This record gives sequence, structure tokens and C-alpha cells, in this order.
Amino acid sequence: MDFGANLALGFTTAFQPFNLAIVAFGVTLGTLVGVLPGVGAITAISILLPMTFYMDATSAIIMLAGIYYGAQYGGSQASILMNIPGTSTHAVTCLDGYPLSKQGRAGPAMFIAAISSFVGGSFAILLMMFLGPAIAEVALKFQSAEYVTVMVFGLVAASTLSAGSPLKGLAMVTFGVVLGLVGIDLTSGVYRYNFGFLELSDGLNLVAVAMGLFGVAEILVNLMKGASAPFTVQAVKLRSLLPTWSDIRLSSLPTVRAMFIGAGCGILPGVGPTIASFMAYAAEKRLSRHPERFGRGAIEGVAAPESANNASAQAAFIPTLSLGVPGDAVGAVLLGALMLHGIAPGPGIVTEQPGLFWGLIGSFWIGNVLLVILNVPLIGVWVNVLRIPYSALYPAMLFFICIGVYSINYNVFDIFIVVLFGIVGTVMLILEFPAAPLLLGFILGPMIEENLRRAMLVSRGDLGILIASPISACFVIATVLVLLFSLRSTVKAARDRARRRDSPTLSAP
Amino acid sequence: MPETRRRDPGALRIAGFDAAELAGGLIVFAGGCAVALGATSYRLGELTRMGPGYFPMVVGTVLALMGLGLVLASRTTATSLPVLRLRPALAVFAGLIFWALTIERLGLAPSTLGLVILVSLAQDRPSPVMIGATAIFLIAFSIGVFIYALAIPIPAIRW
Repeated sequence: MDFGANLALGFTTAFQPFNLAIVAFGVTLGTLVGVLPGVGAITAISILLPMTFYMDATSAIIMLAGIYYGAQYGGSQASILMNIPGTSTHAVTCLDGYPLSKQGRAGPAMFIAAISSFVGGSFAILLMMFLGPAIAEVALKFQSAEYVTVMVFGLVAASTLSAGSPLKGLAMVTFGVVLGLVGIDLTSGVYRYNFGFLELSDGLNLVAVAMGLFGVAEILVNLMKGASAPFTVQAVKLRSLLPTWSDIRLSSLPTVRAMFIGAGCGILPGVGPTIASFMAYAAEKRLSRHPERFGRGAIEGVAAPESANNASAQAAFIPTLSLGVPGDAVGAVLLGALMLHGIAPGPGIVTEQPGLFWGLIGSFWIGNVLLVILNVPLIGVWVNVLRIPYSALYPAMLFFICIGVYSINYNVFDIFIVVLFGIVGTVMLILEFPAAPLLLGFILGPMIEENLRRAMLVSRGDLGILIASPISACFVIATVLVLLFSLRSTVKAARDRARRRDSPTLSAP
Repeated sequence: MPETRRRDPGALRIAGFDAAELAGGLIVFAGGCAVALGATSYRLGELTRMGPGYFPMVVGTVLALMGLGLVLASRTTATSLPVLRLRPALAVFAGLIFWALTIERLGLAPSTLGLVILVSLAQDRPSPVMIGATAIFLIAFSIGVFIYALAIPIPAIRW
């Protein structure tokens, strides 16, 4: 099928009445969880995952993806209005968004944020339309050895390139692989690490693990902080949204530069929207002729990170769908959702499920247009959502976590898994271990083991097969380079800290 | 959560090791050892034909080594611990466990009411009006969506 026919198929799929309704629902819910501080997209996706069992795989992925990129739009509003990022990817937007709001210019800031988000998102969708099939075509020639090296590279990159200690990230990825061991070993039929529980025969329930690690742990840490005071929010009128010409002029170039940064970050596994928005902001500040304006209400300080995080969120679907290597934790859950629908992750998705791949792209276009409508004319509605007190919100979220997990298998055992991983996740948050790499390891671990065993069988136990083909050799080299790079930065950081401790005059923050 | 974290990086050190980082490293090390030890109860096989224990053995060993790395690194790293409060944790987990234990015996409405009441105790001054409103909304919503629309095999109340 050629490009035009694929695109036509995509839009035909996406414009089916049910899929239209489901993308509208997804992006609306995404905006809602984006607007609400303390509610992440991954929690919302996990809660709704069981509901998608009633749909076909395409509709399911259209809805769940909509929640993800919808949250990237909504998250800017709390940042601008209250100096509280709606999701972690919007922390940078606070820097200039809140000063603008204090100057009475919250309206134009939110308008520019929505438009920049749209530009960034659109660029990444275009990229996905051209790059996705090309990558998948190369990846279709992959054999077990290539798969092993690609997935190991994905895991290493995801755990070391993100913020925080690379060693902790690696340890958590490995812990995730360990969790993936639980259940029947498909080759030998042996039950591994099930501690006598028959419920663990098919492995740990992905949704239960994700809800415990992200949902419950997130709520608990918010409660431990004691942040349940109601927010005071000013009303926003439609007229006050319109930006001035100088706003538009100042934001247009930064928006374009940031979409390239964002898309680049999105394609790399592990470098998600948060890092993309930080990088775009830093780049604009450096390029600006008046860097002193940043932090005091520069409109381009809102435009750049918003464009970058949307471009990154959309571009993350490129490796997730065309390689089967998720870019971040949300990508991992989406791949898990596809597996529950009986679709194996990997390049086959693009060629064997054109309706799904192109339908998703079609839904991206529809969803992004809907999001601009939701976030510009209807902004007043979302501002009111911020008045919902957290003391009503978190019991509701915990209830939806319970019923969501329960309705997968109608088995209360899974709720206890949520409790267990809620405890694990809370300890991890307290000790500053990242949770996202764990989920990646959990999804990719079993696939790595399966392909490694197959590769070793083919090569009669010769590990050299892992560097025999140019593609897998490249990935091995890239993995080693990433490891060396993170080792260097870790040692450098440790040395800096040691020096600061030795000279106490410099230690005051 | 920078405002709730202890600022002094030297506050919690044991023999030059940062206490929180050391604990994290030791947990990871112990976990890795346990996985590797568990792997010995499955057939290992050899590289050509890996048994069910081979990959777990490798992964467990790698995890234990990373734990050791974290322990060594904790000489220079520092994690500032947030102020720990037990009450929210107890309330939230009590709520979840209550729901799990009662959903099949009592039905959706009573177990959800119990969940909302228990998890609301996480706040210092829970408001009965808020608890009631949240519980009524959630029960009505879930009867409508989960019992009527999605037809989950759980009654609203089991007598």
C-alpha cells in the first residue's frame, strides 16, 4: 500500500463514529488529569485500561494515547495559574507562566501554550508518518540477536539518560526485569518465583504493578506532604485570552526550535517530555538577546517548553510502535495494553496492522485539533476543575484504582499486588529511586530473555552473534557509549559533591 | 517536594555513608542475591540451551552487583529524606485492603463506603460532609457505569 492509501485508511478508521467519540473522550480525560496537579496520565491510563477490553485494539490504543498527549496540553494551566505543575513535564512552564499570570496576562500565556503545543505535536505526527514506516521496514529484518541488543539499548538509555542517578535507574530497570521473571517459563513450563500462588502463573499483572507504583505511591507522597489546601483560582474570560502581536512574534521562532528539540528527545528511548521541555527552555534562554527577561514573564519561556513537551510526547510513539521499544513508562503501559489485546509489539504492528498504526495517526490529528478547542475557547471549564479539593479527589482515585484492577480478572489477589507495589513505590520515592525504568524492564525483560535464548540456540552458545550483524553491533556500541557517558557524569558529580563537603563555606545552597 | 526535605546533607550519615542511600543499596543487593539464590532451584542449563534458571541467575547477579555499586556510591551521594508521616500510609493501605476483603462478600456499595471513610482518615481533620458527598457520588457513579453499563458480576449490596 502506498502512502496516500495508508493515510486514507487511517482517516477512515479514525473518523468512524465510535473512534471519533473515543478520541474525544480520551483527550478530554487527558486534559482533565493534566489540569489536576497530583494526577498523572499513567494513573488515568492504567485505570481505564480494563475498560478497553470491551473495544477492539485500535479503539483502545486511540483512547489511551489520547489521555497521554491530552495531559500534555492540560498540564500548562495549573503551572501558569498557580505555579504548580499539573504534571511533572510542566515544571518549566511555571518559571515564566506564573510571573505572566501575576502580571494579569494568564490568558495570553495559556493561549500561546495551547498553540505552541499544537505546533509541536503536529510536527511530531508528521515525523511519525514518514519515519515510523521507514524504521519498521528496517526493523522487520531484525532477528533475535538484533532484538536483544535494541531492547538492551532501550533499557540502558531509558534508565541512564533520565534525570537522577544513572546507577539507580539501572538498578530499577534490572529490578523490573526480575519482576518480569515471575510466572511460567514458556520454554520449559517451570513455574518461577510464584511463591506458591497460582494467581502468579501468568506473571504479575501489569496494571496492578503500574497502579501501585505510580497511582498509590503518588497519592501517598502527596498526602505525606500534607498538601490538601484548596486552591484559589481567578476566573478567566475568553476576551482576556487573546495575545498581542508582539507575543506571537516573540513565540513563533522559539516554538519552531523547540519542536525539533522535543521530537529528537521523544524518539530517543528514555528522554521524555520533561527533559525535552527543560532543554528547550535552556536553549531559548541562551539564544535570547535579553536572557534577563526569562523567569520574569517571558512569553517564549512558555511557548518553548510547551512546544517541546508535546512534540516529545507524540514522537515517543515512533520507537514504541515501529520498534516495540517503549520510550517511557506510558509507552510501556500502552505496549502492555496491545499485548492484552493479542497484538505482539514490534515492527510488525506498522505493516500487519496498518489500520491500527494509521488509524492512530489519524486520531492524533483529530485529537490535537480537539485539544486546541478544549484548551482555548473552553478554558474556563478547566480552570473551575482546579477548585476540586484534593480531599475529594484522592479517595475517588483510590476507588477507581481498586475497581479498575479488580475488573481485569475479577480477582482480589490483584488488589493485594497493588498494595504491595504501593509500598514498594513509596519506599522508592522516598529513597529517590525512579519508577519509570522499572516498568520498562518489566515489559521488555521477558522479550529479552526469549530472544536471547533463541539467539543462543541459533549460534550454539556463541555470544559473538550479538555483534555479528552491523545493526546489532551498532546498538552494542551505542549501549557501551551511553554507559561510559553516564559513568563519567556520575564520577564527576560525586567528585563535585566530595569537594563541596570538604569546603563547608561553599556548601550553603 | 523540596520544602519538606531536610536541607542539611550531612544529617544522616553512618560511618561516612549516607544512611538513606546505603539502605537503598543494601535492599537492592539483598534482592539481587535472593533472585540469584532462587535461580539455583531451577535447572540452569548452559548458554546454548538455557534452562529456566539461567537468565534469572544472570539478572540476579547483575542486580546484586548494582546494589554493591550503590553501597559504594553512598559514600559520596546524599538523599535528603522527606518528613515521614505514618498516618496517611496506614489509612490508604487500610482502605485498599478493606475494599479487597469486602468487595465479594458485601458488594460494591458497602466496600466503597468503607474505602472512602478509611482513606479519608489520612487527613488531619477529615470532613464528614466531604466524605459523605464523595462516597455517595462514587457509589452512584459506579452503580451506573460498572454494574449497569459494563455489567461487572458484583452486586451493589450482597445481603
